[in-house]
Amino acid sequence: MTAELDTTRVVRAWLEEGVTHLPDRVLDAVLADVPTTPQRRHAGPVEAVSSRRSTWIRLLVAVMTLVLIAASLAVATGAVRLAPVPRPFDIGPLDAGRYVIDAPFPVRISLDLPDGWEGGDLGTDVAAFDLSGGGEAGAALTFTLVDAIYPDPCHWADRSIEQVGATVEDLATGLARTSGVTSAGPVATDLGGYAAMHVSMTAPADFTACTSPDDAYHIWGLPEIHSLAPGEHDEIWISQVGSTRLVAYTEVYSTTPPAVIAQLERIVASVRLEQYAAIAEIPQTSVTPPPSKEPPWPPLVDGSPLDHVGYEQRVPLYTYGLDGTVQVVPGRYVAALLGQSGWIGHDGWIASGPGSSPAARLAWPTIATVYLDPCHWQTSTLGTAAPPLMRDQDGLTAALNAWWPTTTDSKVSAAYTPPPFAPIVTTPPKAVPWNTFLVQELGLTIPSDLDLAACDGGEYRLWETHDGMARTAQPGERLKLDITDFEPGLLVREMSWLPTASPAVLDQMRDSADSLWIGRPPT
Amino acid sequence: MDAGLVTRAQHGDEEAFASLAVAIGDRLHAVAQRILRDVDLAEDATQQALLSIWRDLPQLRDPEKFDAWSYRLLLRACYAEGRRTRHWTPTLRVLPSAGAASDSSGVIVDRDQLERGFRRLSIDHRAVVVLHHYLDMPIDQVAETLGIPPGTVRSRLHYAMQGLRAALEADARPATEGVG
Repeated sequence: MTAELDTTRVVRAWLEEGVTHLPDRVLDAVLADVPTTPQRRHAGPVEAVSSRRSTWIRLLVAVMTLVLIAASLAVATGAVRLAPVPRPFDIGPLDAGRYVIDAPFPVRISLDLPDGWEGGDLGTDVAAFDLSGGGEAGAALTFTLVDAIYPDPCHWADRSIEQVGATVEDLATGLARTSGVTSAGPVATDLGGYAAMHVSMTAPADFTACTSPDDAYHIWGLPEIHSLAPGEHDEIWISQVGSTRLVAYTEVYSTTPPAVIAQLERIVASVRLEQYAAIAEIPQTSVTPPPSKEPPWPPLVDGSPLDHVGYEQRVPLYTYGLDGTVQVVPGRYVAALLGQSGWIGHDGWIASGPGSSPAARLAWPTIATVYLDPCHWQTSTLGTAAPPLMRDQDGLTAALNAWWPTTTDSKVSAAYTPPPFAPIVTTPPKAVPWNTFLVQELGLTIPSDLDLAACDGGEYRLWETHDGMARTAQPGERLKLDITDFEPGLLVREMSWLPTASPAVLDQMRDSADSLWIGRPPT
Repeated sequence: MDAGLVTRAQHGDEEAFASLAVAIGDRLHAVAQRILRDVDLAEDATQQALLSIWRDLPQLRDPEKFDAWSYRLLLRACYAEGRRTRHWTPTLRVLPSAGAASDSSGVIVDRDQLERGFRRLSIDHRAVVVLHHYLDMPIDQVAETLGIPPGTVRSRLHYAMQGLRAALEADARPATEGVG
């Protein structure tokens, strides 16, 4: 506790440092724009709902069109994907009406909201609505995914979080066994048209007997943390929707008014769940799939020669905790791409020829550690960069970019000498779109005067992947890296080539790289 | 905040909005700078937030909630700035030489480590820390401002502070590893 107080004191003092005055020029710029910036007027409830419905119909038509296009592309690229749809709500209280949670959340959810509720988080693993009644007088409904639970919330810090099995029953049983809470269930029921298991739990009125009474009373922790407030009551539904084990839960407090609880019950009763695959099953009467040589696409097999057709391969993704712990991202992810005649398939990459030093390659590694001195990867005191430093897109980009501080950063360059034969950052990181994500693209060149014989083991090691494969590089090799955060899960699209690569081989590499798609295929 | 001023601005009164902008500009900018850790980005985010406030004011139902609402617009602008322009300064930690005094300038060391630790946090986590520990907002108010349940605020705060504590403690240890 003393350490916590010390940290709080230091953080508070540190936050006091910094600017406190907005420059007049900024304020002037805002006020200069005001006369030419129209205000968005609030439409009446009926008109607004009607407008939203027509907007949604337009969006649905757009989605259907995209699905049809995607379906035709699926045959060409071996993958089906749906374009993200903008969520039909914004900051602030919502008008009464029916709303839809859509991509990137893995289940499509529609529900009726009464006046005044707000849309909160929306991401790949959480979507929430709440009615703010002044903090804990409010209520909330959240949809999320749960992979691990705290069996003893009162002493959550003393015991490891426990991974639960893959079934609905596994999670329902695990939650019902949570100690220290008043729980009921699991009971078979349904939610939104799907079978569900229901569990309810109520936290004790105070946490003073707990290990960390000032900390949250953690119930589950992956991929999102959920914790109870004193006296909080949660109703939890767990349902299997396609490949997604969906968790929906309501939160109310001892001070939540009965009328708000009744609203919450009506919202839950209005919930409808849908798989995205159901959307993808729209009849494709107006689309003639392009001729395909070999549908469905074959798997990419390690060591096998490729043809100019589509291939698929399973891709594991990983995510990190703040302490650097590694977790496998749940769900099935695949890489789908166009092969090239004469190229060789591998586990996680394709190459323009045999051997460990092909003229060109395309890879999609999940990097676990980065060698800070690639030539002296065994003996250098610099060691490796690993989580938690590179636990997110920023961190991984920094690790790959910071071997060689080409910019002047007084914090580093004053005392930091790049290792000998460090890769050269030929293109500093920049945000570019790829695969519906905003990725950080980085260009590297391995020094052409690199003497491999002088390196540890005769190898120049850039990084190791999560499956223990070392990425070695050759003198003069060029790399173009797209660091992608699948939220959760990090992966790099890597194009690399030697100076000897012919223009034709480079075209093939770019062709395959352009076709590469990574994601979760509809079930 | 003066609810009458907010109501007038909601109805298109540019002078009323100018008064609002003057009243909240410094505070929004200070919060943005502490979240984004960059004065230039913070200026851009504040400018965007103020314009969003003007544009969307008619949709604010309860003028009494103007403060919380304006912070939410600011945070949205911070997200946008954070994504649009990222700073890719190296975050490698320089190893102190053996026997170097670690506490001769403790405040400076803390500041440096906190800066690095804080930059590793997501905007979500940074926002909770700044609203609670800089603006002194109680948990309930942070929850209302961010539109998330109080339990989520507590857990984000806990993990953010744990991350900052780890950053401080890691650099307080004698260096035996390459990079943090």
